[in-house]
Amino acid sequence: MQIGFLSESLEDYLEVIFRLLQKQKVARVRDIANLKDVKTSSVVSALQRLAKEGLVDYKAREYVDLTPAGRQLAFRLYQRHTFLKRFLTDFLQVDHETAETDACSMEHAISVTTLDRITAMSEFLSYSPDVEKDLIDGFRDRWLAHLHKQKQGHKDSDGENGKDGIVALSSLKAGQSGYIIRIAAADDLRLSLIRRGVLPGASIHLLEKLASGSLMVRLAGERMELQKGDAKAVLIRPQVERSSDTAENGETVRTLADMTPGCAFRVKRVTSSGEIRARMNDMGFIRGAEGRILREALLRDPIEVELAGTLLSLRRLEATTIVVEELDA
Amino acid sequence: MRDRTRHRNRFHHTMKRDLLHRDRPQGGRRSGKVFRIALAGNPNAGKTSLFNALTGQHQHIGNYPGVTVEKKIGFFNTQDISLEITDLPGTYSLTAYSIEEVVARDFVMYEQPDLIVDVIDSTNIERNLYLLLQFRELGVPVVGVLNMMDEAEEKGIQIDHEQLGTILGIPFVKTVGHRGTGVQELVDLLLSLARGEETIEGRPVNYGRELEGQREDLVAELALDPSFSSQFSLDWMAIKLLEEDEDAIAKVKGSHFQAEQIIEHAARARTWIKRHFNEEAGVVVAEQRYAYIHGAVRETVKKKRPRHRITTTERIDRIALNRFGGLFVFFAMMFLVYQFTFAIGNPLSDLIDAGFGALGQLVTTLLPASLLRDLVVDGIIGGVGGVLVFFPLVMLLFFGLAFLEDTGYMARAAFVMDHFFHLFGLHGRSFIPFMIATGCAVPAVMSARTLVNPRDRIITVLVTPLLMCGAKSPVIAMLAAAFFPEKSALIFWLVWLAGWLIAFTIALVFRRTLFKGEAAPFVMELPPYRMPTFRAMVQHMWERGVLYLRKAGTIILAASIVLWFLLNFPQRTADTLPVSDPQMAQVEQTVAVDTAMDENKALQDDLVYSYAGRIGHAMEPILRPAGFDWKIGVALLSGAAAKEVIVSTMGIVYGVGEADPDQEASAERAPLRERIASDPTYSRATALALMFFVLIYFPCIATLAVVKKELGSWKWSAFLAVYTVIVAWALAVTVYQTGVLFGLGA
Repeated sequence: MQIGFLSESLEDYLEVIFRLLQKQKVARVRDIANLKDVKTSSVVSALQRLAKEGLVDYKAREYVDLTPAGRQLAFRLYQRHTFLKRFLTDFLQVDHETAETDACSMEHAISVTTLDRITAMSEFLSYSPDVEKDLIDGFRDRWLAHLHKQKQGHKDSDGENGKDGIVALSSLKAGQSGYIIRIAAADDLRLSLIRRGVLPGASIHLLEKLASGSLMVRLAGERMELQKGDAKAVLIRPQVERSSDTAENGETVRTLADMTPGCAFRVKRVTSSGEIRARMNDMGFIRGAEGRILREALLRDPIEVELAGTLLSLRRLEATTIVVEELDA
Repeated sequence: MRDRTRHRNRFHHTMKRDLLHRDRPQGGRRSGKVFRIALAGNPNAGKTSLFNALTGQHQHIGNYPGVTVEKKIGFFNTQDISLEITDLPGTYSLTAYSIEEVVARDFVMYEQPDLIVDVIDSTNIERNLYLLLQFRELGVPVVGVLNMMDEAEEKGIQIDHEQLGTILGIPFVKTVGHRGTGVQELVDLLLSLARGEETIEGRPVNYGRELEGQREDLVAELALDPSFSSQFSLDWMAIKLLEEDEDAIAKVKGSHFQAEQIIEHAARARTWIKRHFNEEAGVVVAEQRYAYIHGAVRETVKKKRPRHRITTTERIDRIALNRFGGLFVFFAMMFLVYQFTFAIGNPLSDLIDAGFGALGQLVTTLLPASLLRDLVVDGIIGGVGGVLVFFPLVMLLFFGLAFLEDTGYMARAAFVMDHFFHLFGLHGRSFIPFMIATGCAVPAVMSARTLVNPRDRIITVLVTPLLMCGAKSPVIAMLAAAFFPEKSALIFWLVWLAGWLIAFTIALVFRRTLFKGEAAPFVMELPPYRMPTFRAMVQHMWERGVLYLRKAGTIILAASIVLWFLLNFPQRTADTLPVSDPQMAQVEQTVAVDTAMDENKALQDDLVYSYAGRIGHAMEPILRPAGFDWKIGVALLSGAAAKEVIVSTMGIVYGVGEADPDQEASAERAPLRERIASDPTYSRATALALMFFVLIYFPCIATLAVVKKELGSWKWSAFLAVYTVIVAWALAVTVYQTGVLFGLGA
């Protein structure tokens, strides 16, 4: 399809010049010919046509520049290309090389309407507003897991917990999280759950199991109690990776401030933000960094830490933002 | 390039002018071209010693325009080429969170040096490369200096610098800065780069496919504005946008014609990265940078088992940072610095004081009595003396501080004291200014520069002048001796303690009101102990001393002359007497009865007649609730120059001649003490109120001048002057009224 009035081949030229200018500040006729694998004479004639449209600055010299209008148009072409390519890589999980060539062919082959829709969908899936975040993430994770499984040739199958590892919410352990896949219940129960926000796609976190058998969960940022019977009807996909590092839940999360002198540790996560976070980055408190607590000051604050061979001091309060696992000294 | 000139001019203006006149290659030899180098690196990486090794004595110190960050420029000259080396502030990173970091990156962006030389502490190569990579992203060629190779080898670290250079696309040179090892190789490399015999290819950091894709898209959109792309490195700008760097966002908003779309684009890209990595984009960028470094280091750095299992630093720290023993070490070190500063400094100051006194005497006898003589003796000689008395203190203190910094103990002192000071919203390093302020507020304010965070620095500077300093103590001792003869020592120490309490309380109030918000991070490096070089400490001392004279000295001198004018004008002539004011006339009568000496009377009359005397009179209604009369008002006004002057001025207003502060404070018999103790208008309540007032009110002019210099604005000096007067007044009124209530009013 075309943006504006140019022929496909001229659009291509524009894009090539734009990319060249990104990389090397000047675009030469020779470079364009090399990249497009054509003769310099055809480059020159294309450039003359583009110049006539007021898109490039070319007066039979070696160097080519884009005019402001040309730059804008080229950027839009570039954007269209990257959108398509990202859609192919991010959602269809096509490898980058194939995506690159396919995007090139697609951008000229499909209609404006289709392209618009793909762009919109890609945007929605990538940058949807926070309200729908859980839903989209749930969908994405499932879809990606599904694709992954296909690639692996259906190697694994988990008979015990039903297909695709879907389990009832009631079978989760406290502290685990998952995505709601569907609600296996009669209409009225299902509707009442949905009204309370228990929607397929939402991420749910099991805080604790009460003695009564009902469950305290966190859903869309709010705490909520679910009856045992209801919980059995909520089918979820447990989230293995994230369940282990839910700081808000407070259980088994150890921070640097909990450790005593002599302990060795590995950084799992840093929860601070802003300036303190930036300083932590600078000093090397990043995922995977290993260190050891050396000592404390008189009132047990601040503490001294050896991290990757350097000695650092930090306040206990700052140390609480560093989630660590203890290592054998 | 054309578009850049406008920008460069704005930033260059002040610096360029200076440079052209003073610092271009010595001896007017301006042949050949100037190759401009920025010297960068982490704090404690040995940047300063390398700078000295490269430039020798050809240095010039100033400030970066508009900020209080210091800027040093040095030169290395050869026949055909001159290397102009600018020392950038030592930083760990190039975020927008500290002035130093913004200064460093702005310098590179706007001044476009030809080359950046990044000094690396070889014992900690990964964290140091983290900064180097960020500098390279600014689009200027970088050379890496692997400094402190001796310490690295001691620790069993071996670096294949050629291989590292090949991987990163950056030449590396190994040096030991303080011994000068490798400096010649560095110079050779710099010269051959300057002559264009060698070039640096440079290779950008690869942030991995995902981040690179996002960056590329941002760069494409940023490139739409040609004038923007000529000003900034777009690769750098795109990464900074992904890191949500406020300064970068502001720069886009300020100069890109499509700012809104770009900011929105960057926000979307950050969301995308967050979804993808389940972590903030800024953190992902940092992690990728480290991952890139880690890859390069794994290939080129071998770590053998160190020769000693326990390092010397650890051995010392086991004592110096011991939970309990650390406190003793701390106080011992502080005692040492304090004694060094004041035990040596005070006699020197007294000597300078006496010298200027003698000079004044000499001029008095040489010149005929005239207004000019008074100006020269009291205004100029007195003023210059007033500047120079602090000079030895400033020099010695900074020698001591350089010792603490260079050995590596300063960071440990902060570690030991931080918890206590943090309770009051201060930083562990605030201890030094507090300690020094018990001697003199002028060097104390200057020493606050060891505080890196501006908020900590400002609060510390604003409260340290409240402590009892060497100039306030004779006034307070004199009052204590006059009115509480049996308990004078106790009273003195109570007031001394009150100074600390008030300073801490006000610090807390400021932190809660003026400087609300998250505390500045304390995360800092405890550098390994190192033997400081004498040369470096002397150099540091000398630089501070000269800066004090140049920046603060002129202000102090000017203010002394103004004060002299207020105390001596208008001149009283024969026909201006008798004074018509009935109250004044009555005062003069009583005074006349008490004193026999005409000369004292004349001095007193002169003062009463001066502007200061008149202002003192006008102030009386305000001072009345604190139990002060106009005489005290006049004395307090004169104390603006230096607090001990209050005593001598009181001597004059009470008609006993110029009183000697030291004598009044401690001697057996002292005329002023006896005089005011018997004065019916004075009660013990008045004396107490006056002690507190003197303790808190208006820091002397010299302090205000250094505050202006250190914080870079008169605003803070004015604030300090105003708030201390208000607090002092409120406190004095409270003390006086409470005292009267408890029967101390008579």
